[in-house]
Amino acid sequence: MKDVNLSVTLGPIKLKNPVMTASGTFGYGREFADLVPLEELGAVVVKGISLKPRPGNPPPRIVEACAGLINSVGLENPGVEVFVKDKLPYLQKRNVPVVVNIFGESVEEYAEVASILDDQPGVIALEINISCPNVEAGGMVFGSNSSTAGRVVEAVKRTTSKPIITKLSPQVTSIAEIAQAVEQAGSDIVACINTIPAMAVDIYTRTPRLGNVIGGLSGPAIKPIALKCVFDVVQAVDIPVIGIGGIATAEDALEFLLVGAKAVQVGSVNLTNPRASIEILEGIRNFLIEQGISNVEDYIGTLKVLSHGEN
Amino acid sequence: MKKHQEEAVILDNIPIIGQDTYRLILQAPMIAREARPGQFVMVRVDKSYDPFLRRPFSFFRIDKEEGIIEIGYKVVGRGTTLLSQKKRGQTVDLLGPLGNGFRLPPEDTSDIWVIAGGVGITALIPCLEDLRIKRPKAKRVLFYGVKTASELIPSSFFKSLCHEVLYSTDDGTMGFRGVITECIDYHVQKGEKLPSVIYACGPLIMLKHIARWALAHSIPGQFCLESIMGCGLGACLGCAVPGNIRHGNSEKGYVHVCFEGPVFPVENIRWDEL
Repeated sequence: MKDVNLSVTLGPIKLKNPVMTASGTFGYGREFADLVPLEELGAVVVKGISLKPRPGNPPPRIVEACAGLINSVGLENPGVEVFVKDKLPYLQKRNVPVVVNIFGESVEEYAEVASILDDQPGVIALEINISCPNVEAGGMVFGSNSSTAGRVVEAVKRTTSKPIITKLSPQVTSIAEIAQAVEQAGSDIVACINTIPAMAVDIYTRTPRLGNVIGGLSGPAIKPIALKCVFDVVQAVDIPVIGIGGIATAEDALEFLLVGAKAVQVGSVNLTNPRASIEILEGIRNFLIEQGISNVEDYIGTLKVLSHGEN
Repeated sequence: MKKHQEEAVILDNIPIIGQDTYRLILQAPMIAREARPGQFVMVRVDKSYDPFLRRPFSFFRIDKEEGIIEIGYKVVGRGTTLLSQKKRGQTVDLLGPLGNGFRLPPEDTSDIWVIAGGVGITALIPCLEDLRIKRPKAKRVLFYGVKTASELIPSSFFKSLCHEVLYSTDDGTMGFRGVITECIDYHVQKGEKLPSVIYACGPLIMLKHIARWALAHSIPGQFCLESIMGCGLGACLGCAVPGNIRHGNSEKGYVHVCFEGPVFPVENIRWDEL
């Protein structure tokens, strides 16, 4: 077999392959342009954008953890206007499929950011962030409750014609329920998971290691948790699911595809290995060739779960 | 300037002072070709994901013709411990050159003070070399402070690069007894001419004092900062420090050590909040 068909269809969007970069770990793409052929990726998901510029949280903003890191960047960004004027054109010119991660402190703000991005070419979807643990207003406040999560999605849906991805937090009683709520509210796709609320302290200075005291854990450390969340959500909804959380190798990515994710986002490992996304894409291709699978969609969601007694 | 990810061969990795400060000599032609003093590389100290993040190190030596770069580091934690165990002939994954280097002072600069605390000297040696070549007429004075004389790197590394070296040690085992800022005060009171520009690198507490002093005397300065870093590329925004770049509607903005630094003009940092 010469090559495989890596393209995947996620509801209204079609990606040339299932490998995307996760928001907050890949800047606005350009930062990695010397190292990664951006147009070869399924999509680049850019750093979270809000209506107004946000300075972010006080430092220290990151602390290393076992096989991962905890961050409390606090959605520092230049605001949607500057993003459209200064950051987005580069990706548009290079024909890189872009997903814009959006964030608001109120339902109205989410909707307004979405409406500003509505006519931007090259933006194949908006990813609604209702799961950031690092901000006081908005973020996880919306994502930890089915009805508020649904309200944000409905409001965004009204102001944009772009497909909507809703990015969920694992820090809820039932991620499946939240996924169902955003599906009902009109989300085209769900993505899970965002970082897991976490903290670190210094036993000598007796102070928190993050300026914001708490942050979000990401990296290989959270992969098994993320995989279980994706597994749960895939059973609970009919819309496509994007798997995120600790993916560092092609094998990791394939695990998420196996449990039913239609695509994956490669996140924190971009910091350790800037070429990880492209290496993962190559690894998936090689795996499928080895396995004699000509179409990646034939592999997605083929996990064999034997019910009790069948073993 | 293009950033490269390069598997560099270790030519040597040996203690330079005592048992805990090392020089790591690397064959890294792509990075060496583009590197400038004050810039840095991100080193992946282990192939596993624990430790997860790369570690940033300033260039200690850049040899473009030979394709060699060198970094100096002190063993302070898990990352640098692992790095210190690497042997000649092994390879290490590098990302660089990153950040902005030291900028040259105006052509007519007459007096330059280079102020180094501890292992901070390693970032300033290529800066001194550059100044010697490009501002040969300027008088270059090196203030070099450490805790005790045994922590000084050999003078052969910097002796030929400056006109005068003023040492300070906390315990008085070499040069002035006291911290480097007291040493500076002492020389100023003795009548030493104030510099037209300063270059500084060292522990944060030292940089804060020097910055306050430079600002009070309206002396322009370039300060090389350290920070925990995620990516080194300006993507994760993890290395923010309080800085005076206006950020949209907010007065209290941050600057980022990796891509807006690591070398900053003294007035661009809000030192009191660091």
